[in-house]
Amino acid sequence: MIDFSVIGNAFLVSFQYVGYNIIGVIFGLFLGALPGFSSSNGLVVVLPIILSMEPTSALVFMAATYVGAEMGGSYPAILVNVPGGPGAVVTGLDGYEMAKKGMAQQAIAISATASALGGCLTTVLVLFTMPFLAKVALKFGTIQCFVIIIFGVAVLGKLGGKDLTKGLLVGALGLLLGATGSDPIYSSKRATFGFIQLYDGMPPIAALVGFFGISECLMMLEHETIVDAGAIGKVLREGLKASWEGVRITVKCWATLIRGSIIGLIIGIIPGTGGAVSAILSYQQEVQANPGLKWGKGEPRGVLGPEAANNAVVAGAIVPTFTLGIPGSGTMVVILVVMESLGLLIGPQFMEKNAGIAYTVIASMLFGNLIIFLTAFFGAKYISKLTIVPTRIMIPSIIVLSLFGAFAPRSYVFDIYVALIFGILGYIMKNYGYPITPLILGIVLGPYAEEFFLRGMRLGSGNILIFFKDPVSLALWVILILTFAGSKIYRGIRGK
Amino acid sequence: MSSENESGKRALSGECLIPIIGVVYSAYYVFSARGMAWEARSYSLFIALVVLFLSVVVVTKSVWRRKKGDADKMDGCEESGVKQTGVIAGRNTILAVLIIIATIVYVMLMVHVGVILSTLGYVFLMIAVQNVIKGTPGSISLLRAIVYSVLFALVLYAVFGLILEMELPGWFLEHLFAGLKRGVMK
Repeated sequence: MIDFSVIGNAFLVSFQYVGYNIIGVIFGLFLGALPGFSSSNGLVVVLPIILSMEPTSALVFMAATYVGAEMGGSYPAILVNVPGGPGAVVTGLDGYEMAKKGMAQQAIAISATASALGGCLTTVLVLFTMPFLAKVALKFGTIQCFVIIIFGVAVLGKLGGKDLTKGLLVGALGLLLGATGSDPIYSSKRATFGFIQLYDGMPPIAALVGFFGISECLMMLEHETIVDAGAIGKVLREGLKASWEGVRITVKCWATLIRGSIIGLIIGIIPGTGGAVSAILSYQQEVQANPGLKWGKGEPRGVLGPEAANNAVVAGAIVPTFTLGIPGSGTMVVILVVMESLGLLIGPQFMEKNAGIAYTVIASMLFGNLIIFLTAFFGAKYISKLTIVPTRIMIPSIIVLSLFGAFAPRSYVFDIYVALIFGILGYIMKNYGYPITPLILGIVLGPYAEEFFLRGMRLGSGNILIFFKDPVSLALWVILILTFAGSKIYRGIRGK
Repeated sequence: MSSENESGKRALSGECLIPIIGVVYSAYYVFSARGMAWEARSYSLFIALVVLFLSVVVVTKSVWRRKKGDADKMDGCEESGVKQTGVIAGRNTILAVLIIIATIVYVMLMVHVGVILSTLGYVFLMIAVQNVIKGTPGSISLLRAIVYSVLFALVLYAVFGLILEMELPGWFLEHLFAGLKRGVMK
């Protein structure tokens, strides 16, 4: 039973933590914007400071950092087509195209408004329905998670480019590259080329910065600025009006916002999926709902939906972490570790003994989202000027930042070379009409897909039909088939 | 006519490159997993078969298009901003190769001369090389290039090395700054 007095009290108490919220969000925005850094490894850096705080302050700070980082990743994705993390990969599809047309400020404002509104909406939902959502989380097991990942990569293969077979090919290749290294059951080493550094798998951040950062720099050689020459004046003249326009578009497309937020919330409560999957699913939903729009050519809904979804994931990921003690994402693992270190009970007992702290942290996320909005709304005007910096300066700068991003997670020089190889491969792919996004998501989600697949096979005693038996996975397969063949079936029926 | 034929051939070979990489990698993957337990191979075998099938489809489609005389048109290439043949202008290809070589040298040098000096040199060199090959207009002045390179290298080290405390390769400058930081922290 929900105790509304606890929630009401939490709202009031959360005002005391606004300072931690502001610092956390700004720190998160900074981390999210740096390729290779995420809220999880950023929080690890400041762990000694966090552990010296009292529990509520520590949790508020970490939740704010998480919220900020999810939004921060979209800045480089929009401005230079280098996503700060996997959650922002889809944002770049339309966001970067908007930037090229001189609409970076508008894209950032859309991204911030969608993130903030999506975050607030789902935070309120979580506040009032947490016990119910925890039960929903338990309905998603190994089998459903596997189907969701395959669904996501396949859908992006379809949406990522003009040629379906090329998209599916690179998506499958990504899943295979993602399964490099130790297998999840016996730790047998596969396709490592003899490199110890690949025993833990293909480094996903090196792949991300290689495919997006380095290959994009090589593509930039064709131009003098990111923005098309004719739009430079527009970028220079743009005032706060462009930010308002972004807010207006977001509010006008409220259905996209709500769909993205709900998808993000549901994906967030499922452990092991996260921002990338939610963004793909949201994008897919929007393409299905509005097939006539120019997707991938600077459509604002292509930024709005995924951004609402990837920020809503944060509120969703809190649910299993607080109610069941199961971390919904990498950052939640760090939060759980800190909770334990600070002497808080983990698992269902946490909500029994520390409901006040839990609800205060969730309520404070509302402030976090507000801060995100204000920062981006007023800052977008200045940040968007980055798109008119000459590429002669941008190219070496992005390459160096990308290389540092590849190096950051594991401190292996090997990962820098991996990023370079993927950069060259990405350059070839872009020149010959292969979409990059399905490949990178395949690499990021490949290890999870393999683990879920093997666990599922064990559950089904080796029978592959287990992936088609329960209603949730069956429904996902049907949606997948309809996504690929729906229009043909529809035309066939109408033709008759 | 012969140049059109040549560019068509190049487009076809370029388009087939990714499927070939896919097939070779899948074959290597399956080969490297031979003799392992079924669980270690089942998923990858399944995905490798999908890669193989799709590679054959992509190559067949490309060859078919070339036979029909549409070799210059590649699906999915429209939005990349390069010519439909997939061949970018010669000047930029040279630049791309130069950038890749310079980046490899930069990474190799970084280990010996530290982050600050190597980054400073790399950024300056890249701006200068682009100025020479691309020419004016849009050229960056020498002074601006030097100032930007120095500032960029210092800020980069401050963020990654001093604030985020990454284990970066260091030489005398990095040791100097690390010592200064320790002094300030005390």
